[in-house]
Amino acid sequence: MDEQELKNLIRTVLRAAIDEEGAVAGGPTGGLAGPAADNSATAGCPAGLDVCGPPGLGLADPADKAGYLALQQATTARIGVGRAGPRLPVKAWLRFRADHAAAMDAVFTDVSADVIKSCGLFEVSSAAPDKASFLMDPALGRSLGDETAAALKKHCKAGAQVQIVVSDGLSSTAVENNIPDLLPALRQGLERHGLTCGTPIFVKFGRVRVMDEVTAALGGDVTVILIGERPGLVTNASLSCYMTYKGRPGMPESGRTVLSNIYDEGTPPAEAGAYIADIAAKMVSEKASGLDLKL
Amino acid sequence: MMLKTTLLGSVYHFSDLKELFGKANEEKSGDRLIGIGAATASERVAAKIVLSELTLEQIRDNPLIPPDQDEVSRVIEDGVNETVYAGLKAMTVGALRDHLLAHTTTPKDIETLRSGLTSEMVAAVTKLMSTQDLVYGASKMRVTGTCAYEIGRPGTLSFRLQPNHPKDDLDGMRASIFEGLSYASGDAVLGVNPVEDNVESCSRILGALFDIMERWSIPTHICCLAHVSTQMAAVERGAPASMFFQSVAGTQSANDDFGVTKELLDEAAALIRKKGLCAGPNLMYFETGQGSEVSIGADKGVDELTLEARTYGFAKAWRPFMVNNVSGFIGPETIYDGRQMIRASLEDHFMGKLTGLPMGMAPCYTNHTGIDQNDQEMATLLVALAGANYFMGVPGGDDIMLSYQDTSFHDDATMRELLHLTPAPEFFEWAQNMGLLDACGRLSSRAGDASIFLR
Repeated sequence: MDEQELKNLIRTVLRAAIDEEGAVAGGPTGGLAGPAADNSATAGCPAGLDVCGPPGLGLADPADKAGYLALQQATTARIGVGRAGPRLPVKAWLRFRADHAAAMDAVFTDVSADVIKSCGLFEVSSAAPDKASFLMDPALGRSLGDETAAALKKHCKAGAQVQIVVSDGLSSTAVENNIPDLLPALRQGLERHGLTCGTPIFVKFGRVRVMDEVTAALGGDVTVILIGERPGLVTNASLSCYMTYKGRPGMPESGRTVLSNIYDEGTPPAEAGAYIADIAAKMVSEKASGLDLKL
Repeated sequence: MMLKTTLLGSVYHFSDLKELFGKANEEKSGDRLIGIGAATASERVAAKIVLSELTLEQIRDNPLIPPDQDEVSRVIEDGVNETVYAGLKAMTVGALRDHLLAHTTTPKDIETLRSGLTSEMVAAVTKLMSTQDLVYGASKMRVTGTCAYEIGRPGTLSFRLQPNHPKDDLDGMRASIFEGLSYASGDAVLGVNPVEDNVESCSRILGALFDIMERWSIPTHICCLAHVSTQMAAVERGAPASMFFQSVAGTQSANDDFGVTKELLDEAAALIRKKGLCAGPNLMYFETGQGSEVSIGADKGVDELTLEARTYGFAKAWRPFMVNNVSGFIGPETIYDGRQMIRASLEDHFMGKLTGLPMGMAPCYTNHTGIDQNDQEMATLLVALAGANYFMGVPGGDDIMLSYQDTSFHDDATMRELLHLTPAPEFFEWAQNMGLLDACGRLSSRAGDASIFLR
């Protein structure tokens, strides 16, 4: 069975399960635009799969249907899901599982080699030998190791005004979804500001502070790390950007400038790229970052 | 003190109690992270054997974190009943385990005995317990708390309704509260974790919770889980609160990091007694979690189970209304997978009850661990069977503010139905009058419809 056949089979089974539930619950309400955060879940779903659409009401005959739909609009929390005995009905249950699966996949899969290559990133690994070690020992993801630092010095441009680092962190999905749009916008922005840019680097199994080790290896003024955030069930694709001016290992966290929630429904990646370039220019002109830099 | 044993021809030697306590634990990533876990399965068992032969006096005389260096150690020491301790001190840890489990040891016996124990003794005996030991042992210990009314009585199971919203939006919180109430969740407390930790936000949230409680005449409690100093300022300015919440930990340096001291908690307890909504006597709500000290480098080389027991010993000084742990929330560096989370939940519930705390539980997980929903549901079933006082109630199990998964309204109703438990009597009566529960405490046909609160 190839992948497409498998997908079709899963789709058929899920749809049958949902139709059955729909019959019990009097059919999905439909027509209601779900909360904005649901869009991200929709992105990874085959078209027409109800589990991924707007939540609708999971109970047949509420006391106040219109009122209930308004309650749903007030929050992205899983309300109005109905019940099967005391348990979640199948639609709400599978939706929960789908969202958690997407979150876990964001953490436990690797950024695809194609994305790293097409974005022109020079790939290295942190000191973490594998994903489990990376998750269980945060110190490993913050360090590069001597050999890797030497490789950076040998292969990458040193002393640029801006050094870009991309890292999987806790969401490979965040990198894959955002970097292809963010990076060109960022580079154009830097060019517009007349700033020189080092060789963009990808650090596999990286934590935020690994950026300081890159700065230590390659020098330069501003270091930018674009790193996947810990996924929730609402979105698994949110990216954060941390920036330092003359960063160094052991520097205080208050020296970092942070921009988080970069994803389609948060700050869209292209917009974020342009904004990050503007912040970098300001850091260079004011020679400061973090709390010392007023934005 | 000789800390050694021979097991199947190999000699195992432990240099001090800190090392022995670390190696006697079941595997946890937090112990591994700081390099104090057992290197082999045999070493783990050897450590348990040596531990089982120590007397309670040897443990007390060799403190893991000396009282002159740590406020938590001092609070625990101050709480020991010396007369009861004198009667127990010659007992070994192994004998204590068997004594706690024996049919001849009554719940009343344990109530007396616990006043002679230190947290390190509580931790030690827990390390000798299996899954069923922890469930069975805890089931003998009921510890209730009384704020406006009592929760934790035999035959009851209560819930903290947790209607968090990522923007502290009151309408969003109300929607989740209505949903939870419609599942008869919320008899322990309506408790919100705010995004913004400031007096205005805290007061605004408490005001909204109070209005809902009044509007629907719900016999329950309200709490905003901001830092305790924020809640104190809000109450000083007239905000309504049933209790004060605070996260606490098992070392002074971790509590420093949380901005907590004994002095501050004493002040808080005095203030809520004076200006809170309820008579008590139990007016504090504490949250804890195995590994919180490790995750901020404040562990002093002590294993995470023992630090959690010390947290309970510290918390006990304020006779709290509720204590729950969130061990699965801290992260993979302290609890990595379902097996570790289930074990930690059982240990924490047992240790809390043995310490004398009204323990609730939050079997939970974040998305960057190996824990999944099935693990979480197993942990929930086991600690419910063990007699947890309460669980969280989170819409669909998905906390959209804290980005983790905890027990849902559905899980809560399932536990009540499976184990024939009902809410606290006052809330039970309300839920029956609202037509949400039948006389057995099972969800009625009307339950699960939040829109009944829209009229």
